[in-house]
Amino acid sequence: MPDAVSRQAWECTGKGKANVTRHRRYRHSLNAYVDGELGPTETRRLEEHLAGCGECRVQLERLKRLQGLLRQGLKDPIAEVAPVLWPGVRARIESGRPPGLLTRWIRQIWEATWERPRLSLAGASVISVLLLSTVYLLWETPVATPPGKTVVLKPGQAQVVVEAVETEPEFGAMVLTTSDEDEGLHVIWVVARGEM
Amino acid sequence: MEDHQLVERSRAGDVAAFEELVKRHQGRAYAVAYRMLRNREDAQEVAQEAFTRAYFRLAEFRGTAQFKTWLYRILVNLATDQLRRRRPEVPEGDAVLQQVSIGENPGENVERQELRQSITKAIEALPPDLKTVVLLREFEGLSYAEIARVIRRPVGTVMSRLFHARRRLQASLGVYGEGES
Repeated sequence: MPDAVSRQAWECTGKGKANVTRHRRYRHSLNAYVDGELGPTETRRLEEHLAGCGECRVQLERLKRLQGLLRQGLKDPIAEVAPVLWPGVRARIESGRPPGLLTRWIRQIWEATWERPRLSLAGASVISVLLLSTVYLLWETPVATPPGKTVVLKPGQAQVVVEAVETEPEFGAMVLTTSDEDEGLHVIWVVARGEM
Repeated sequence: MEDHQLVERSRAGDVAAFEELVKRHQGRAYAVAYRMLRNREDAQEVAQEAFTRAYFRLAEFRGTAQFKTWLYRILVNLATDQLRRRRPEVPEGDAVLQQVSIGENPGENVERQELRQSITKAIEALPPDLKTVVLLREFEGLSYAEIARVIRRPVGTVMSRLFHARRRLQASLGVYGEGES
């Protein structure tokens, strides 16, 4: 069951989805038309549509009437009689200090994000992903022993299991030592070719 | 002297030039603030604060926009913040209007008062973002492009907000506008 707009569109422009869509678009552009914001081509097309569309003509009249009502009804004497603002502004200027560069940057960033919720969401998402990635990498990356530092392991304190060991033949050789006392502790030496 | 010349002089430390800018724009600035807030003291406070902030931010002002548009942006942001913070309350405008109007031309004024009260209520019922575009368009006569610069949104958003605001106003003012859209 088509709604009122669709029914009217069928009546004034003929059946078909494209005509209904066109009719809705013209209805939306009526605001810009009464505000004088439509370009010449769009104005001509809308006026052609208006000639054949009763509903759009009614809506156009309603919009014009509303505009007239608003402008006439809100000729507000209070709004139109402004107090003298300069003394108050001057006092504020004299008692205030201009914001520093950092404050201005923070404010600009804040305004840019606050006024653009999508940008804020995207920014928050990126920061979250970066934070999570950092935490994951820190968690997963083994802490290497600094070169030259000796680590003394007591029996049962640690167990190193080596699944596979490879090295390039031209680089040198690998020596694997196993302590009888510290069962499960294997030490891998990589001996460069020049040291062999 | 043009606004941009006064801005340049103000930037160079000429307070008298900024005073001239305030005097030139205080009427419209106050009217916008009052129409958004419906309270004289709040409107005065917001308008003064907007000028003060504009003074301290003159370094950020680019000559590509009009001073008025740039000032309205600061003003509308301040007024919108105030509206969001404010608890729902009866605006003072209606009560004050009655005091101002009664006694001059009773027949005409009662009718106009009713109309004004209905319009005020209908506009008050709009969300701040819709209210802002209606006021800037209907009362300040800003173009879509100027409104877009004030609210920092694309022109399409301005058109969409105006469309929805007017639909709501037509529904609210059905008696005067002869029916809903």
